[in-house]
Amino acid sequence: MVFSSVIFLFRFFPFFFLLYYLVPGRMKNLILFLGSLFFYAWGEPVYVLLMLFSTIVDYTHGRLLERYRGKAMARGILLSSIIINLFLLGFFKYADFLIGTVNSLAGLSLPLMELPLPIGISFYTFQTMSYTIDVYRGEARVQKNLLDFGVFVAMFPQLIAGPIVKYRDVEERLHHRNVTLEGISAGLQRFCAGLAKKVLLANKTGELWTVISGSDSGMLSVATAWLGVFAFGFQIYFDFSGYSDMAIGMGQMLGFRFPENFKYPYISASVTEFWRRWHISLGSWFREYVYIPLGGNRKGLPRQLVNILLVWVLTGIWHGAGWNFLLWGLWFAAALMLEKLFLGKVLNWLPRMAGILYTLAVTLGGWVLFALETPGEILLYFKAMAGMAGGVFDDTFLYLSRQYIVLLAICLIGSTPLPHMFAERVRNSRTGAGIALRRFGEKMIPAALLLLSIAGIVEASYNPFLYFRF
Amino acid sequence: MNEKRSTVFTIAVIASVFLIFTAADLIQGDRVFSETENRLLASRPGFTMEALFKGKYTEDYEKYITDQFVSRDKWITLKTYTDVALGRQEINGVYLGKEDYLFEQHLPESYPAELAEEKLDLLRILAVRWNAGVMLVPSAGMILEDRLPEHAPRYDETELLEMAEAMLGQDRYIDVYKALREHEDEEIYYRTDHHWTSLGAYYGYLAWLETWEEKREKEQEEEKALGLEREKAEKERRRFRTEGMGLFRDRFASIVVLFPEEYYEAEEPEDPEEGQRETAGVRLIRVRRKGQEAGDGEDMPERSRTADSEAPGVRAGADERDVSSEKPARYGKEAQETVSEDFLGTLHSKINMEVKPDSIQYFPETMERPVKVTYDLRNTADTCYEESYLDTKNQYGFFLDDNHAIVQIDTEYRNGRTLFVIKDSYANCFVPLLIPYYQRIYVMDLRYYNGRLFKYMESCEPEEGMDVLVLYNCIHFLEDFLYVK
Repeated sequence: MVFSSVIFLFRFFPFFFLLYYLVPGRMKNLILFLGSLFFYAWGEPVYVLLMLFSTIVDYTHGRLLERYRGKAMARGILLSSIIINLFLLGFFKYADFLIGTVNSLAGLSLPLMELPLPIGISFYTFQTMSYTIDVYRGEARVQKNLLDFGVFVAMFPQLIAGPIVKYRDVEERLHHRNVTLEGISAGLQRFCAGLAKKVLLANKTGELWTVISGSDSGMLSVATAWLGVFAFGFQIYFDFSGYSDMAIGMGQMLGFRFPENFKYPYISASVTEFWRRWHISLGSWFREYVYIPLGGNRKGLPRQLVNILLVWVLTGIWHGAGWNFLLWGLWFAAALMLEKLFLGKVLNWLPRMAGILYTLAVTLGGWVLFALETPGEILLYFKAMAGMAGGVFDDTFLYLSRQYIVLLAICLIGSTPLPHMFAERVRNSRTGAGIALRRFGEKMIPAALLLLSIAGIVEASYNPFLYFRF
Repeated sequence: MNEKRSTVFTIAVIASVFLIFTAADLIQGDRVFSETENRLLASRPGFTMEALFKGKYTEDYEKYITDQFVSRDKWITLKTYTDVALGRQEINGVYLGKEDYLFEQHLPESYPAELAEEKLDLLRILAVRWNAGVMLVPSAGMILEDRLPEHAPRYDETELLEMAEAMLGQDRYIDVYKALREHEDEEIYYRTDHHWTSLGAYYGYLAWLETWEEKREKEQEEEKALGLEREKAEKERRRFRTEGMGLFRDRFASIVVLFPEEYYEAEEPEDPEEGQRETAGVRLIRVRRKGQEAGDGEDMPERSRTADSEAPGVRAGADERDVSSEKPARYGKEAQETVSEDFLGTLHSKINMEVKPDSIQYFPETMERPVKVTYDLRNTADTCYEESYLDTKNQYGFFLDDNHAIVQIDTEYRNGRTLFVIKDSYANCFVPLLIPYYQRIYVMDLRYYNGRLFKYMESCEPEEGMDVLVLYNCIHFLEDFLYVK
């Protein structure tokens, strides 16, 4: 089930939350778990079993780790958990990619398996792995209650698209949590904001990208090509951060506090900074469970560069089973390594604006790798961006920019902390007018955004969620 | 109001949006058909375990719920207005043009040159085999181009038209583009629909008429040269005997006289002024009885005069009409009658916004004489115009009862001529204008006909031969023109 759909907003959401608030505290996790299973099974009637399997596997491993704590066996148990999870992920997500690669390298034609990708597998396998690793390290207590553990893995707000919640982030509140009115109010507001980002901003910029990417790259003008990458950059940002907002908002409504996943990444002044503001939970996961165990930056510069390279290869292919994703990871690895070497210092010395422009250039260039699948298309598009296809300006650009200028301006402002800063100022206001404005805004703006989003959803023929293939 | 109460109030406001529409949606029953979208709405899917495990059941159920969502049409309208507020000038493939004009979007990449070549080849075979006239009508965006949004991408139909003209030649190709261009400031296209108006069709008719007259002129000269007038007159004489009174609408005869043993010569009278009345290119030549001196031409037998005045709308040499105007008198612009002022066409359906409605006109003189219209070889009607459509959304169906595979129109203009029209919906408001020129008109829409076209045409063709006309809008031609020989 997708959040931005009629079935979710007007069947699942109201009925689930009404039930959740009505039942006594002890039963809440049961409702949450069953509801989440229903939510997942709705979209994956068969693969729901896979998710349950993964849950039981890591619950068991957790218990075993507890039992054999300190012994040599514990290592084996940890490895077992990692191997099983990675195998599941690898098999369902990367098998065809590997087969295809082997085929083209060795000239074979092994048949592809063509398994559909289970929704959310990249998220929940990483989540369960984080649990076993943390239990092994003693950084989290084992969860003896299968239901509670099941809630951790399966809870629907973050199951299919993150944020990747580490066990210790929710450990305290897993068994018992307070649902407060403030939490519900803030959660609802956050949810509406996220929904609007997805439906009103992401989907619409997505249309612009579809038009531009669908046209003949050999004829694109420089202006149109760049317009296209901006469109995609906005689409993927508002799509993904909107989804995270909805997840976090619903988490608040349930009494949880999920970690933030996006912090205005496009104002970053370096690629290093970008990756501390974009998809924070993933970067955090890789840092915690791959980069630092490999030694991080504590084993000298050359080793650090290798570590960065490795982590980014993995980050790249986590996003998708394709060579373009690998290239995307390498693209950032290169930028990060350069920044570690000397570029970072240079950027510090330059004015912030220079850093922002540099980061945007790297990020937008990266999006070309991310969005287009074949090397041919990618090359053509880069050529167009450099002016080697069409002219500088053309009618297409004049037409499209005129059509989308208002939307793009909104997206630009929405990518900065400005609206948030303004809202904060109003929120902290002590004047009568300020308080009245805040109270009015808190009610009307989410409601208005909700109504407009519903209109977009009902009308939609185009409502994909980009990160859905994970 | 303290903070806590405000918080509760906030929850209430936002939650109520969810709850109200959920409740309303559950209460409201299912709709079967959406008039605005002109399609069946999804109905509740049947449940089977198999469908469930394949994921199909949930997919269908979602489609069903979304299709049936309460106030669906209003939500769609709201979305459209949001887009317009954001400055969009194109909604769902429709441009929002100036002066309330809507235009269908035709992207250049959708119509590659190969497609045009392919279709024109097909057309050429047809045109050569049947000596067909061809009218390719440009879309509104080609003629009213300054009302399009700025820099709007648009497929340039003039390339297609130039190729067609070069391929078909002056004789067969009728330049509708030029005709419409001359009147681009008039209401020749609907604002809310992709068709041309009856006025636009009228200007197309004028272009057609030019070619038609040239054709007839040529025919006449040919026959003269071959000395066939005798035979023709004999035939005509015979036909009048069997069919009683009828009148020629062509250039050869303006009077009919039933004198069995005589026959007639068609001649150019020496004095142009005496013998001819020029009315917008249709010249009437008095047929003089053989043996009559020149100058006797004015003296028409009494009988024929009666015949003249009895039949309405006859132009046979009578002074009843104003012949000084440019257009054929019976089809003056003023002669149009308005049958609807609330027409919201196909383009309006796509955008679901409030727009100024169009009005539909037609030429009542086309129905001056009784016709028998047969649809698909089955149902008959006594008029080309189906009024019942004016009460539905699809008011354009008023013309020729919307779309049929084959329509046969038998007129009371007994000139022995037959016309076979191969067309798309653009021809629907055009064909009635041709009624006075033909005794029988076949109208075929290839989208609904799966048989062998030439064979069928041969079966319709009478001994004397028939005219063939192909009329398509340029885009429909590229998209739909297809036949099996």
